[in-house]
Amino acid sequence: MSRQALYESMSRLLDGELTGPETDALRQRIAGDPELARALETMEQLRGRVGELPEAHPPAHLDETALEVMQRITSPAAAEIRPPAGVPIAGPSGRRVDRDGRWRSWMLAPLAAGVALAALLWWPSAPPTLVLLEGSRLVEGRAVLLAGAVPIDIDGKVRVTVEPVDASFRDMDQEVLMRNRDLLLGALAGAAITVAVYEGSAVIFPGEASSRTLGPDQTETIVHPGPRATSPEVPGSAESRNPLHKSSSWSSTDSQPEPFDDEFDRVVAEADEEAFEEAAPETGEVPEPSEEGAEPEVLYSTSKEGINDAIRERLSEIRECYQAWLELQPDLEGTVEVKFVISDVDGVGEVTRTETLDTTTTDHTLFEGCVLNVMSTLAFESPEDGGVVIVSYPFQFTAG
Amino acid sequence: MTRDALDRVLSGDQTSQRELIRGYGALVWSLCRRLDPEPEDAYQECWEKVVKGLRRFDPDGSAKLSTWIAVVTNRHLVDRHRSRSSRGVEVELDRWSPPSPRVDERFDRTERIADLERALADLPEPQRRAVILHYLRDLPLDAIADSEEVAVGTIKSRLHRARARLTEILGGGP
Repeated sequence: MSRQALYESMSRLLDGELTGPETDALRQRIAGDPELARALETMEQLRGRVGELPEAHPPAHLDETALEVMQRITSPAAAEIRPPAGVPIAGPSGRRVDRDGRWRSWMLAPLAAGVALAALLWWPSAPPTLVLLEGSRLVEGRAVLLAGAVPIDIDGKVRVTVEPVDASFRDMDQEVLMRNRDLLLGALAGAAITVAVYEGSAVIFPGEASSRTLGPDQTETIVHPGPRATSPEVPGSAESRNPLHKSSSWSSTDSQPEPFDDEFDRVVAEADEEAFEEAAPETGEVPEPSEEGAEPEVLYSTSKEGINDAIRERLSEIRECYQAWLELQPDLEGTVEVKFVISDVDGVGEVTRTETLDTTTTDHTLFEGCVLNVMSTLAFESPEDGGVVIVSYPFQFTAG
Repeated sequence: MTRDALDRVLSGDQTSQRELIRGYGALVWSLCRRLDPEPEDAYQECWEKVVKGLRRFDPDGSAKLSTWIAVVTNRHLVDRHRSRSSRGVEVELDRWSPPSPRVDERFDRTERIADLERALADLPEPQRRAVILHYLRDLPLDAIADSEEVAVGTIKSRLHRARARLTEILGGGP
């Protein structure tokens, strides 16, 4: 009898489900085996131990969203404002981290809310239910995605990529961005948004311009100017930088928009430098984990072993994250439990979503984001049958 | 909650709805965070199910509201699990730490709880649901079986397998 089967018999013994002879035989065996006796003791305590697990209250923002759900359902006009079937009802304040893992719940919530508010001014029906402020996301099914400040109504299989127009935003230290609200808003809302439709359709609502519908195999890039285009501190007319004032969108095959003028670059650079001096660690920059967009040389399988190998290969980058942040915060330690989803994208298994689980204990958003950055760049063979693979992986960090 | 309070919830009274969430939010959350890989989405959806089904709950009947909410929540979590199962496979990788200086100390109650939570997380979802609902939430076996649409014997088997597995993980085994 295997150990598992033996333990199951012991469980039945505790519940009085064994016959008399079975009970006698098992008790005799347990009496002669100290290991089994200890196991039985552990088993007897299990119910009590599980029963004593502490009660956890949900994060406050979840209760607020739950209340919104209730209000929506019990409102007399509920039927009119219900989102389409299949649309996830979680709002933008969740802990989801898109692609590069930089934007976490505590900063997503107010920022996304502000951007969403602006978007809702021209949103025709259901509110956005997914938010992508930077990076890439593959959406399947029916959903409304707020990309930067642009709502996109998706019905099918669509990849949306949001990139800040000015590359300097991507290179800036996260802390610098967070300390400078204008820069942050610029990085979040002033974005080039690429929509690639694999199946179904995507309807884009680019601000005051009319909506545009993309069908299968169509790709389009639009640029939303974000708040900086109309900022009084930034010289230059909005029209000169904002193609949406001239046309609703332009194709990725069209000529690219003119870059922001030199004066704007200078303003950004000065603000960047000033904020960086204030925020940058004396020990130097915290490393970015990897080169974005780098082509993977090896595609690992999505088996447990393959995923393990893929992560081990990137271990040095995880260590760099930890060592860099450890220098800034010597007591940094704990668990970062990462969950990521591997989906098929054009025949390659890409990490299409990353997040940290509640079991994460480090309480350090930027460090956790650095770890998620590494995870988001893993590449695998395409999952079988076009499905997805959901991976949970705990990292334990301890400092000596 | 009384019938009047539940009616107020259904009529859209925000105060009563907050009271319902405050009273039972921890119950719903404790199930979602342990039984669903996307607990925040699950939490919102479960409340939607609860409110939509609230008219069917009889406050003067034999079932407590907490039991009823746990059953409704579990039923939805089972649906989500089945939907996930048809979409993809979930891989739980081995516990493993990157090499770094270690401090091997502190083995207190917090760690014991963390150990147990990790062990529970290692169980297959149906077994985990049975343990959480029966041991933590004290749901009767027949209520669990009803919410999972399986026989009581199946729930018992899941509990035995879960107990055996937990015993192995928690150090009872070799």
